[in-house]
Amino acid sequence: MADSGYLLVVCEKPDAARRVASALGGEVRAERVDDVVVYRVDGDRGRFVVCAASGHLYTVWDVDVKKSGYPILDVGWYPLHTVDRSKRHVGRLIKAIGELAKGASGFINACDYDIEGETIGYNILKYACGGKETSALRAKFSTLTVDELREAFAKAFPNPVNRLAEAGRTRHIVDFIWGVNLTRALTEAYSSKGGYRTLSVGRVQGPTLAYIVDRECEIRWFVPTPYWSVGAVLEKDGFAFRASYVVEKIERLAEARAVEAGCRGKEGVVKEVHKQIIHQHPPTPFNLGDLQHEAYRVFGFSPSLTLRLAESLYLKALISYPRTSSQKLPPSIGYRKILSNLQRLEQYRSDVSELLTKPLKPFEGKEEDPAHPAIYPTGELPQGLDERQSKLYDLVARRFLAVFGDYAVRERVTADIEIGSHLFKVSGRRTIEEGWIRYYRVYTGVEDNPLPNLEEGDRLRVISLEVAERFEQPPPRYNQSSLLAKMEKEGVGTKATRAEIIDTLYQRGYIVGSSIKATDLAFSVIEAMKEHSPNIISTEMTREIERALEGIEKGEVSGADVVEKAASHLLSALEGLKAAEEELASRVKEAAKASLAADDIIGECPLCRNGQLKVLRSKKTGKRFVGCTNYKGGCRASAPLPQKGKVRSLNRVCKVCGWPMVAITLGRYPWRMCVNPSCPTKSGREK
Amino acid sequence: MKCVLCWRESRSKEGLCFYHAEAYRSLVEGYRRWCRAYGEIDEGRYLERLLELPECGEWVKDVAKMELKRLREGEKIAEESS
Repeated sequence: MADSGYLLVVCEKPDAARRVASALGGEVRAERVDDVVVYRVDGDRGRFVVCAASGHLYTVWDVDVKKSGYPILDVGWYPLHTVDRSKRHVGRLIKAIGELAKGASGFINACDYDIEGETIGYNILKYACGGKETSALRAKFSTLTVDELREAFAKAFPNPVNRLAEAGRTRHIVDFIWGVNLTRALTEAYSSKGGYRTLSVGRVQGPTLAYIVDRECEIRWFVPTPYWSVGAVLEKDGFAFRASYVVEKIERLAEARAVEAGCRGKEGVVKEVHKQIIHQHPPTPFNLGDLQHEAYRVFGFSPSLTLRLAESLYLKALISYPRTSSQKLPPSIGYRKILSNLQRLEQYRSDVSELLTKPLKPFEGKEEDPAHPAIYPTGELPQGLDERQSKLYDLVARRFLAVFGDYAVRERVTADIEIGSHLFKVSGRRTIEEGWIRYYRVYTGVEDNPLPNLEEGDRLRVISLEVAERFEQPPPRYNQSSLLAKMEKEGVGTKATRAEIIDTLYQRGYIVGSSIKATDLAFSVIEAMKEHSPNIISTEMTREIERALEGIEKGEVSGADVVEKAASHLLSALEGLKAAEEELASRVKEAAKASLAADDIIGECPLCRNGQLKVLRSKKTGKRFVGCTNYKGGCRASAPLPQKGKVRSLNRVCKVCGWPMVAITLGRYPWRMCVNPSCPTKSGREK
Repeated sequence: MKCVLCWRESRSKEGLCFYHAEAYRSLVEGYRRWCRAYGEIDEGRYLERLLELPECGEWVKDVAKMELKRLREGEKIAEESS
């Protein structure tokens, strides 16, 4: 079984291992070792055995696994399958890699070159390969193309002091001790009054949830204040356009009416015209955050979906490594070669031909990443992509073309128009030279709104005047993209973990909806934290730990120091929680009860207008139906319901009869119905 | 004691929880702004308009409903006694 004289190459994922093996050249044979696929390569570059992990094979866990309660600060690294029984395949992987390590003459870490990849590779070399983490070579690459992989292996370098791995391992330890201790503290508090429910708060989860809860409070406390705007539709040479009164928000109705009265029956006179030429620079190359925002804006993809799709495109060698902060594209990636390859694709042919006639210099952003350049297409031809992968690929490819485009030239015209003695403003834009917009048009949303040719002294006919009552708007709810932007701005989490943290908040029942709404449970947990352990949800403390973790990468601080610091913050937070255990328990329980009860409410009772219609069960027959909560007050509103399927309120009423609408989900697609059995919309069906 | 509008503990003399008490404060401040904006506006009309506006916060609407009910009941009593 053991073979000698080969280099054992450790990759992060099976797809990457297959590509690495083919890139190394020579004869490639796939074979199974303990049911695990590995690749043997014999060629000019030597003999290799390429194996793959499947993400993390080792995890941080409590040294005393049987210990219950908290605090837990004594932790170590363990094979994943020993603490999570659903990961039995990890045991086989570790055994196979261990066997192969025995016959290897050297080791190459070819996991993704970032903090997670480094941690995965380091742990495998240390534990599965028997202490090879300092002697192994490192192959560093940003794409899985044959040329780049060959170059990376030719230039594989020793990496005895691995700060990136130390930072990654420390991050896992800090996140584990925070997560496990806070989760146990909250869960124990909840259980102290009977019942059981797992409640979790993590180091980054806490502040993120606090942002959502704070925003939800602002929205729910919002009283819209009225204001007025005055608009005029004017005309010149048959071209009608709209101008707005110079004060955009008039705070008093009387004032708005006075402006309208002063303009009535008057004509408009152009007082001043300003023309300005704007040179609009191309967009910057995508880093992961930018790609996630743009994919959300143009396709509605969640940040975690975008990351998954981008990783799948990377593993197909179609785009470069996506977990990058960089907005820079160094010349070494070979602009001209990539563009020439993209030219083979019909949809980019004419745009690329045009770009290739000019010198190529990308417009870059400020963000840098020492490990990887910005995301770019490799030039390999895409094949077998599904619809979402194709969309994301096109976005990356078009963005790549756009960064090499010229500045767009646009003209902005603004004019002051006097009607009576009141000043109105109008502005228009038109594109003079498209520049980069030509390559990215489908995704830009840049539109022209031209004006007629206005000159000072022009007299304009006023077609109509309008006073519009408007209301101040509450701040918008976060969506996944704006929440991600908030996390980036506040410096909580990393580019690799933020999307996952948002997913976790959904899974824990703290947030719902695409326009993110905090649940009662979230309010209770955050409320309790604010009162008893504000550090847990403090952005400042999370950022401080984040900075310390970055300090490990730079060699400014050791991992052990960071763990100690994080543990001391944690212990003081836990003390606060312990002291408030009882209050916390009752608060969270009430919230859980209320959210269950709220699920059954389907809307206001249309008959008594005092109670609410609720899903109830008949004590006699056990069947469910809709009844009014004001039954004791004499309201007899009731309606039958289908006995199967999940009933969910649609939070709106039937346009015909005014009873609440519900969605019934039975099988794949829900159907909508008005709960009123006598609703005229149902009469046709009865016949 | 529970909040008169939800399941939370009451923390104000009006019998409201922290969130509804804050909403009540917003409602009162809002009325001042509305009076300034419209010149004058009847309190009942203010509450009715708020309940119609989608921009108005959920907790403010809870409090507005309660206040409107109180107002109408007061008007009814006044009518009956006159």
